[in-house]
Amino acid sequence: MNRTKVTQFGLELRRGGVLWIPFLPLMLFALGFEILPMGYIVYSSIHTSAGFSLHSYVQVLHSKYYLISLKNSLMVSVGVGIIGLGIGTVGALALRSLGEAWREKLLTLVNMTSNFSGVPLAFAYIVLLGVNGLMTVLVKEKMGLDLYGLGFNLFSWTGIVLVYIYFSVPLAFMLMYPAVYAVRQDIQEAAQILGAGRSYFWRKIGLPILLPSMLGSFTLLFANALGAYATAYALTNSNNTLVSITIANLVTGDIFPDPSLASALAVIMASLLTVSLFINERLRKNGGGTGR
Amino acid sequence: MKKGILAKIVIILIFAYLFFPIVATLLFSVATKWTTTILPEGYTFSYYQQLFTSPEFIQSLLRTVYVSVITIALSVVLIVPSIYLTIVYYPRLERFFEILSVLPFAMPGVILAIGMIQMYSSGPIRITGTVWILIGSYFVLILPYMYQATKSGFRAINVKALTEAALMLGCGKLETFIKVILPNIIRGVISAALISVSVLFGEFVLANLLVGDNYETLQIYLYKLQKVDGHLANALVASYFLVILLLSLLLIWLAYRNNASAVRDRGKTS
Repeated sequence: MNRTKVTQFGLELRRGGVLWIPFLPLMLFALGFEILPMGYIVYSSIHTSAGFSLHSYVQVLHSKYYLISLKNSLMVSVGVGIIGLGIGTVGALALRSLGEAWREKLLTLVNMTSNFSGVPLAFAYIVLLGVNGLMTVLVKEKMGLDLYGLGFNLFSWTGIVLVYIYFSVPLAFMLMYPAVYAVRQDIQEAAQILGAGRSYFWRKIGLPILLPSMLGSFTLLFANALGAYATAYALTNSNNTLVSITIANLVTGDIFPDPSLASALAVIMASLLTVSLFINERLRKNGGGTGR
Repeated sequence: MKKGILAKIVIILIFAYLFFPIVATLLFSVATKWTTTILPEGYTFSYYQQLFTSPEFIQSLLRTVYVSVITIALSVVLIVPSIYLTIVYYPRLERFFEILSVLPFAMPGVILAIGMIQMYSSGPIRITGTVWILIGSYFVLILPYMYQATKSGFRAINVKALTEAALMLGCGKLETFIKVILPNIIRGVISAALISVSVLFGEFVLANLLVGDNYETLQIYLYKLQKVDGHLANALVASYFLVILLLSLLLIWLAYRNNASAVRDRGKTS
């Protein structure tokens, strides 16, 4: 079995002659800027000045600060994933029931807003909801509501979650849009004829059909939020401890640079991402996951 | 009937939510004074004028354009022939491309950046803080988009049949690729390049961590400007969004033309 594979590849190689040469620079780039850096992080996480040790991982597990930043990131990503998924799914379902001419156009608009993230998005929110933001001032003057007096602060967790939800919604929308077609009109009609009410239908039939795609979309939203850096960095000046910001500070910060520790955190984060992407991949193979 | 109205309300609410910050940014960028009214009290283009005559802005824009053009050109030159060769000669290498284009999803910018900083700050290759590391990392960053969009261009034609026909008619291998295959997939390549432009123009993480002040790109300039002059920064965000809008429209137009020509061709053969 294995042998035939090898000989087949050999055949391919011979047939192509020297045509494999264009692959060399591509592999060089991939190796130098993708594969080796990844390997280097793993190496650096288990290599300290004293030689090979798991010291950095132990340090992460014993430090309140790093554990909190991991916990913060996980909580923000899970929360944002759930809320974004909720809005996206409801939106996708609503979009499905519109006319065909509208659907395509609106979907393109959603696609366009998905490019609005990072520093520009953070800044747009600062203009709107910052201390002297348009909305903040307007609400104060017209409705007598002092947002910041009531405890709202854009430059805190509230702000991070608010902005993260904003960039998750278009993604959730686009991931769930193809999936909602699994709840076919004829199934819905059949259930109705058999006497199922709307809420009963969604509880017993609609949601179970959507659940695998929702879980798949959630893993992608989670991964997207966990890896995000620019938005939070621009919003909070790297004060709030999300793991992505902690990692970057550990390498570039002037105060306590500790590349080995940063690498250990990065390996933990990459493992979380790999697991969530793996779950989606498995769901997709069984016909449920979403994306790409 | 009731359901239709509910769906419309939901859609309107979501779109209001998504477009509210964008519309506010655009309006704010042309507002003279806007404090306690619903709409601005007066309009002006002076912020745009200030922005577009600022040498720092022009410099950072040129830097971003420069690094994007080089990276995308390099990417096209390396990836397009490789995908072609994979399809025709080495179908087994497709796995390699797939792995390469999935990896970035498990390695967001932050992780990639700290790996590269550690690798390239000391040792034989010291390129941290130079434009070279940015080009290399951007190459990896856009690889999934380049691969997917180019691949879908290839999927629209029968590459193998075209190649075989050209070779049989006496075309050389290189000639086949340049004169027969390339004109057929050029739209896919253009889409790939446009998507990459929008990704690279919005890129902040790698630029900030790998080169920072040494090579101030547009996003880094925006990040700094935001602390100094809110109005100018806002004009920059608005222009950025208009560029993205333009790119999206171009992409839609390309996709639409693809579909339209596909329908036309089908009409011809039947």
